[in-house]
Amino acid sequence: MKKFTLILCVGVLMLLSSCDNGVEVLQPIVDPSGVLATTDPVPNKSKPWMEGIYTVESGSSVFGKQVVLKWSNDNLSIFTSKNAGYAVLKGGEIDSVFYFEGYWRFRTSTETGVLSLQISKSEGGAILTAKDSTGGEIVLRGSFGNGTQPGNAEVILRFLRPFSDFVKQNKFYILAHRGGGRNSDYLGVSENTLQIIKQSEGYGANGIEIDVKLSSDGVPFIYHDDDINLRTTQKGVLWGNIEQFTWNLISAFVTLKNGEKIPSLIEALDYIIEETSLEFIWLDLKSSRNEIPIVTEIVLEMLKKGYVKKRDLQIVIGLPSEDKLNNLVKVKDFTTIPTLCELDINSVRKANSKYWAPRWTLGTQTPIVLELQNEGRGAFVWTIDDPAFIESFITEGKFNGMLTNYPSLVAYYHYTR
Amino acid sequence: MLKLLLFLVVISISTITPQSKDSLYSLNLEVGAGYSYHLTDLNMPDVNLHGFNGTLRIMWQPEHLLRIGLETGYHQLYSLDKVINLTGIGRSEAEISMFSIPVLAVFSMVVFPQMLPELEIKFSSGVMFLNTRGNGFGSKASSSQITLGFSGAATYLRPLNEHFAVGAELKYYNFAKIDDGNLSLQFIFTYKFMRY
Repeated sequence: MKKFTLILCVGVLMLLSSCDNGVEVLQPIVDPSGVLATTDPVPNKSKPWMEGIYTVESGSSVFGKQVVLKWSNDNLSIFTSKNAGYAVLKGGEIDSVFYFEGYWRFRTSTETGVLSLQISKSEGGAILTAKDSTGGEIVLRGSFGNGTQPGNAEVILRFLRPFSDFVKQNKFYILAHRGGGRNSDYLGVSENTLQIIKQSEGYGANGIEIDVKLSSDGVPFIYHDDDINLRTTQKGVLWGNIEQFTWNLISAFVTLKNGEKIPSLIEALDYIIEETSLEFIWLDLKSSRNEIPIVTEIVLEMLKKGYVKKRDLQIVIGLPSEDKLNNLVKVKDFTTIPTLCELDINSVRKANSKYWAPRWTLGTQTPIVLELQNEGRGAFVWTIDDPAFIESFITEGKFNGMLTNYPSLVAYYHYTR
Repeated sequence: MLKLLLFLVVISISTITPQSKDSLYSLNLEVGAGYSYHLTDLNMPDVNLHGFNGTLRIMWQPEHLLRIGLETGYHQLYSLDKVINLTGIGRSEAEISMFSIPVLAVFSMVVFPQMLPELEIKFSSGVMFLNTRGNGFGSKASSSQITLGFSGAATYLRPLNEHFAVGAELKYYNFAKIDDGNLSLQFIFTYKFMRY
């Protein structure tokens, strides 16, 4: 008996010591008073010539053998297949020398560090600032480190080729899950917030999926879980099923994990139109009630606003279940509502959905995807995070886009096609 | 919280020893009421953490030192009454409160039968119904959820006669889902309503 008790005690102690008590990823911050303070913004005409595939001549421990460089607004992103890694950099130019400061991060772990790069005048700077530039040999040289300290490990990226004609001519939507990333990815901002939406393009996304709930007084808002809990929120005074509270109480008393407030659907869509270049929004309906009429009204209003602002933006209402489909068909002129159906293709046709979105475990389903594309619809696959499957779905599948927690990895495999 | 719960189960199991002398079995009704203080790292200075705590328990008292039973009750965990100013909405007085109703299996033991037979150490685990009520900006809302939880208590009971005893109980509750605790001090009254 004593032996049994001893073994049990040891087991319990092992359990106690094995639990994860929270991870903190210290994201390096670019010093605004550093070198970039003395530079001018990177000219827009130079940006497309920097984009492309680069060979990693030094720094393969972080960047692998090859990387993709892609601009999104004012951020230059680098994508690698190694550990779903990426880098986000701010840039500046002075006297035909380009400076970039930022950080790199492995998305599949918590490893991160500072990154500084430079394009000298003789290694591409002059070409990029030339009046009638057509691109050419570009070399980025610099250093990277681990953690928040400046690093001294050398990195050299040499331009290999621009994006292929296939990539340039075929729109492919890289959709970031939960607005850009989950709380478990430790991105420094919370999932389903305006802050993560802002960062999503730097991770390689050109579209996002966000989760929609409905407050007790009928306000659609962005939140994933059914209840207010410590995974998604900081400790507060409101607990329980979040949809049982009014929007004002939620706004006043719920603070998300990294200090943000929960955005309403209107706030989120308005922010996307005004502050981002995102092209595709997938609204994943998560309410236990029928939110389709009010969400439809908001979506149509926001699409009008996007049109006025000349934004290339699609917003689709996800139909994840038969219940939601049945709610949709009760709405007048439901076939004109932009929807994305996760059910079978008969349901896609019944709802006249613009997009079909099957689960990735069902395979590439190329004949069905092509059939729907011939009908003028599109097809997305969700949610793929495994590098081998991402690569195979991109190279072998015919989907129009992919939902993922690792948009940088999808971006790497897409842009290297 | 689960870690501590497991640890306490192990300690409870390891301390169980059979009692040699025979005695009567009984079923006891135990009722308690008192003060509670909510233990939390909630960073909100206006929250009132003081409240009322009531317990209702039925315990099976066999011939051994270990007793088992079921417990329920009512715990006021915290309340908040403050004026909130929401941008674009305006000001409103908001009231939030939370209480819990536990449903716990109780293990109780007289740990020092020779020295201090009046002292029982209790360990309970089970579920707790957490109820939040909110009132503000012209509307009311409430929500209920279930969490796993446990409690540990020290009870001192002074028999009045064969059937009745009175005493005090110092008890700690833990609520896994909200990662908070609650400390209570209760006056306890027990009644042996069945003996066999």
